[in-house]
Amino acid sequence: MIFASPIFLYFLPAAGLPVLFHLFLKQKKRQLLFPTLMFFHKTDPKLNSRRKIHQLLLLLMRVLLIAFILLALSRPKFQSSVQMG
Amino acid sequence: MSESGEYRYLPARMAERLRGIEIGVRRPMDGSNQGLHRSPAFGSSVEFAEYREYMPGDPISQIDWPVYARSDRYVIRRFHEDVSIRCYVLLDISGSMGYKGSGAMSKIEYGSYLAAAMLYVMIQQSDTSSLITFDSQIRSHHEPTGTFTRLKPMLLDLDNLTLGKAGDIEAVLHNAAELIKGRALVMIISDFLQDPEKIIRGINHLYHDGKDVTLFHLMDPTELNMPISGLVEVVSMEQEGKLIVDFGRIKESYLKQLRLYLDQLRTGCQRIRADYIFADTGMDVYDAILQRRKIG
Repeated sequence: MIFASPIFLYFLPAAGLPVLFHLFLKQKKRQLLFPTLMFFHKTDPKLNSRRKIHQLLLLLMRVLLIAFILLALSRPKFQSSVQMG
Repeated sequence: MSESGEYRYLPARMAERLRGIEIGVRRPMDGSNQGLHRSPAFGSSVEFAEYREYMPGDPISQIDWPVYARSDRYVIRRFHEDVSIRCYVLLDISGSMGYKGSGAMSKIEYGSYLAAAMLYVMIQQSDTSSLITFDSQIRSHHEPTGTFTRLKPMLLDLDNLTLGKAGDIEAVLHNAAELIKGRALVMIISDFLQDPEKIIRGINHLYHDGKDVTLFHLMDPTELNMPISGLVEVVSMEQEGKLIVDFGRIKESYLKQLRLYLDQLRTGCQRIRADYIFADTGMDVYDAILQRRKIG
């Protein structure tokens, strides 16, 4: 595979940015003292794990989005004897 | 602290308002016979409670002569009003009681006002009071007293309370049933944040030991209404750890679970004939007390 504008490939590490943001954002979460978790546990056995899966999928989508955009911009060409102008 | 010193949880104004309050019990009590000390205004309902063996010093006028005629035994008739009530106020000082949301004060402050008032009222009506604090176990315990002098250390204790850690109401109630001998009045002031079935088990133990039980269930309006929004990491005050909560999504099921829990607790108390009084910390403490006062 040959890339017409390979310079964009150098930006591929940027696809890792969403992951960094995800980790960073965790530290800024608002904390709240509350008497008990009793009523949250009862309502939320699956909600928490479902939320985590959503978060991971979202993260994956963002990473792939950036990666694909960059790949598209770098205009990959498959083996061809004729070069387009 | 001056002689007539004001105690934080029994301000003079409150004491004034409490003078007209009388607290009764529905079950027979084991206490000293103080019939002679009661004012005529009290004891207007002469409900027969039981027979007891005559002991030197008992009023001769209370001897039931027909019984003597039948059996040659001296017994005296005891009425509910003759026996002084030993009142034990159990105050929850576990972590969750320190919470203050949109209420006028934290639950422990509210509970302290309530406890002080109850201790005062019982002594005022010639009964005895004792303060017991607890979280996962009993932390402090005063001997029951009938004098205002001995009330002061209890009021001082309330002034100097430190919050405990996680609570275990059931365990404490079982301990209390062992600790408190005989039939007495037990008032539990707490937010009761535990499985209702466990709490009811504990109360049942007290009930079967002959105690007359009253629950003052305290909650903050914020706990009740859940006006919080957003994605938040919730930190438990009862040492349950942390949990990330999306308050927007969880509100409906939280409120549902809360209602279920409150209903379970309330009906459980009805079943075992424990007085159940709910108070949110936005309410006037005096109004909560009024709900317990003797009617008629």
